Amino acid sequence: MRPSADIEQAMTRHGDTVWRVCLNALRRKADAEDAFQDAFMKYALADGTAFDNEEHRKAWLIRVAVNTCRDMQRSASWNAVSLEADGRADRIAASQDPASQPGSRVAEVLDAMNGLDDPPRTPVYLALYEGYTVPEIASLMEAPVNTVYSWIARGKKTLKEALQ
Amino acid sequence: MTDIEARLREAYDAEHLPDEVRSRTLAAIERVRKVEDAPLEKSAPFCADALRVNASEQGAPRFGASSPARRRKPHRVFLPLAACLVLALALVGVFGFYQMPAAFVAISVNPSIELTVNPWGTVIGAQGLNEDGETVIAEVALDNLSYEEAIDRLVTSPAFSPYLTSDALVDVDIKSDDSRLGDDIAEQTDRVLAKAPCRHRCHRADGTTCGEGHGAGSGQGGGHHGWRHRAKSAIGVAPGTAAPGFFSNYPLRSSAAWRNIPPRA
Repeated sequence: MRPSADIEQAMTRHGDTVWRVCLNALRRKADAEDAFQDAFMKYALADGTAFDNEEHRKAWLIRVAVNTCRDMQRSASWNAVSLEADGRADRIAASQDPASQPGSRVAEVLDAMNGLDDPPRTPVYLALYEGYTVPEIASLMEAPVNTVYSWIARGKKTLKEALQ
Repeated sequence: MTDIEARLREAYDAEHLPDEVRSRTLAAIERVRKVEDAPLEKSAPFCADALRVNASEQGAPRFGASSPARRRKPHRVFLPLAACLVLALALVGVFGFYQMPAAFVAISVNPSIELTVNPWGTVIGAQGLNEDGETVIAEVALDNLSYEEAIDRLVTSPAFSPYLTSDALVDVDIKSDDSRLGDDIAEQTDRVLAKAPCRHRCHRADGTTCGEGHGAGSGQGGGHHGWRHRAKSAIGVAPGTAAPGFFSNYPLRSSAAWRNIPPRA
């Protein structure tokens, strides 16, 4: 198992990114926390995995987080809960989140992002915020490059329409 | 940077990992570490090993280099495999059914030809029963046509049509356990041969004469059943003495005598 200092350092450097990926994919904070814990638990236990550099470690964490979220979304319990909880208070709606200012530009953007399906929500986040290229996102999400291009184009178009 | 990108960046810059999530995650990892570090006890089944396996499955993505593929859950592999297997078996079954002979039709005017028809009324085999028949079959492709198309193509082919003169009698023997298929074949045979100048006679396996007629321009009567007549001779039956349906007792494929009938003089 990796040393505590290593794990804390990784969480300090990449925790925000992994958290946003989980939150983007799952939208509910409780689920995002589960996925986040799972991703870092896997990191802690993957002591045999060596990283070339910090960017490599970040990509590894994002990929694990994306896979974990995808597994959660595919599980039967997730689908059952989604049906019940869809639209309920624990779902992240930025305009209702006290951390953001209601009615602000920030809330509007986060609401628009939450309005997107996933995909394209996560690829759009990775491209527009994290600055990954399409081939890199394709590698992270285990998807064909052309599909990722389509996702991002569709996501940008929907975002633009929502924010106009 | 576009306006959307700027706004997105602004929005996500405000979204940080909550401290309580960070501390809960670190605490959970430390709990796992304690259990891992503790001596193994028989009664302490623990999920860390399972997690370790999962972590190693994830692989480390290196852009520009090959990264190990994520292992799929067994049911995600086996279900498509099972579906493929079922599909393959179904295709084999359908193909086997397609290739199953359901009727044999012997057409004789010298040349003599035998067509094998499957349960769907498609010709799946054609062979000449004598030398002339083999010559015709070599020139006319009949496989995989519907029976009516096949017989039409045969009758209108340059290789076969010269035999269908106004004094010729086309003898058609249909052998099928499927009475509906046999009826269809007899009906189609009558329909196609009615357009030819020759006479024709159609026999079913049960010995009934299911179709008999003159083609356009015919009118001459009688005439012996060339191939049938010679076949009877070949197996020692005097012409005119065989009861109706006599030949129905001889399986079309097993009657070697039929194949070795000398050509009409």
